[in-house]
Amino acid sequence: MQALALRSVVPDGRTSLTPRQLIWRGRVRPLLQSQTYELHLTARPARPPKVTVTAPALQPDGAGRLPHVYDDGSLCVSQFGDWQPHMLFTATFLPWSCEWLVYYELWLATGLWFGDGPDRLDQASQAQILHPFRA
Amino acid sequence: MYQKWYATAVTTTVAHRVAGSLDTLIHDGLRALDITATERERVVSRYTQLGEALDEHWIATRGDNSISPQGSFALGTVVRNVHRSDDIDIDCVALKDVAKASVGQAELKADVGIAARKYARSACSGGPELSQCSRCWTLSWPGMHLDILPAIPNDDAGGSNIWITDREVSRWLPSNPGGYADWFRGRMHAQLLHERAVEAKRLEVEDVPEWQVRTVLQRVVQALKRHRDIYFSDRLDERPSSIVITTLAAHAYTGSGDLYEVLRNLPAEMARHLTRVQGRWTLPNPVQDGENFTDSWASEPERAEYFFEWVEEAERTFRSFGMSKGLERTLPLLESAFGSRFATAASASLGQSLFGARQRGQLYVGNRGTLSAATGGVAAGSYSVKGHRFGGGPTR
Repeated sequence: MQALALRSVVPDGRTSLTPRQLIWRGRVRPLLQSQTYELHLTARPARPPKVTVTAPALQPDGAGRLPHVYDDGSLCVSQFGDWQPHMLFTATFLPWSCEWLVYYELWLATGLWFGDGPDRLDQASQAQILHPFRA
Repeated sequence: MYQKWYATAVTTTVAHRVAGSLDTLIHDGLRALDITATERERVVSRYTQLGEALDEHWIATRGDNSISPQGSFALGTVVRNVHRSDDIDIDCVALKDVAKASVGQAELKADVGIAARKYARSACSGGPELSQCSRCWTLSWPGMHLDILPAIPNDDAGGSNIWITDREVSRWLPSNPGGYADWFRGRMHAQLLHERAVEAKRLEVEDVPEWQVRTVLQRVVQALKRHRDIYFSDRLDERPSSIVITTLAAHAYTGSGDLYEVLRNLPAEMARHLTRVQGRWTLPNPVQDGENFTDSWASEPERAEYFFEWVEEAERTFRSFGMSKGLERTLPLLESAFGSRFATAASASLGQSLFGARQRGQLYVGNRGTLSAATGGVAAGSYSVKGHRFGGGPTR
């Protein structure tokens, strides 16, 4: 089900499926003016998947940090309860990662992360979302 | 600050714009350079009060004195002055209804100065500073400058024709800013009607006033003027005049294409509307027989060189936007062409439009993960994006 839905959005994406794991790789372009990125999604049954950007390499700030990433370099695009096992990745983690990429490009250009809303643009809020990044 | 710009800019239709396209980024950047609805109200109230002061001062005249905006305010192409801290500059004509034979140029200018001074000292004016240049008076408030050009009716030509003083204040020159504004509006008549209809529908009202919308032509003229101001930052005197840019853009505009398409193609087309007549560059005033907007290029031929140098650079710059991929590359290009206020507004507007669409449940994802903030229908095969919050830090 997840694999079919992913193929309908990214026809040339590659999926490998085992009983315990789904691995998907595909290229996305979140907006007309965005770059094209290759995403890597790994999912285990009933658990939220992990999404990483495999190309082009993400560019952390001077202190080696990126907004909203986990220790392992995957994108932190949800909070507990946002995703339920019945939800398709094509309506959740895939577009959420695409959103992350748009906000990431804006962050590179302006130093501001717009993804948490207009009332989170103050310096203190912006500083709190940066996390050490390991590719 | 970001929200404020977004909320107070002159309204334009956005329903058909694609989030993150060059068309939308440029549109949203230009909105931040436009006069806001609040500033517009202030301008109208100030020149109306000034008009009352002039009318009182000229009580003994034939009685049809008037004050009216001209230039960019009348054309809907106001763009903030990057060399004056992004202030708004407005031009208006103060028309004294007297016969040409009854008043001299210097006398008329001094007369307007008396009324302007009286107005500047009045309680309602907000205490602007009054200064003068060769042929006009300027009232300056923080963030706004109002140039007042003295004029009398041109009874020989009739209609909206007027006489203004030359820069030496010793001769009368024919002028017709009202006729020019009508001509400019005529170049985008269908688009104006369309934009007004779309905006009226969006606001669910019967009609919206013309000043409340901007057509592609008006936006392109704003973009061209802003690019010129930045390109000539360190040599302001060499800038091609706004009337030359506006007239050429209006001639070259075909009436179709989105904002970026028109902006990319117009510079090359504009240059084609300049002609050489007996060795002189010619751009006739479309409503004033015998007036050549490029008259000064004959005695200062370097002005033509500056114009062509700029128009080529504008074309190169605008084309480069379309060749860049990645907002982190495109936005700095836009900033270098149009300034930081523009780029900041374009970024903030994109961020807000995506965030707002997600909050309203109107964010969709389609082929190749392309996001769209749809208010109407969406392409087949698109998925509605579920609500979520980014993890870690101060999120919702």
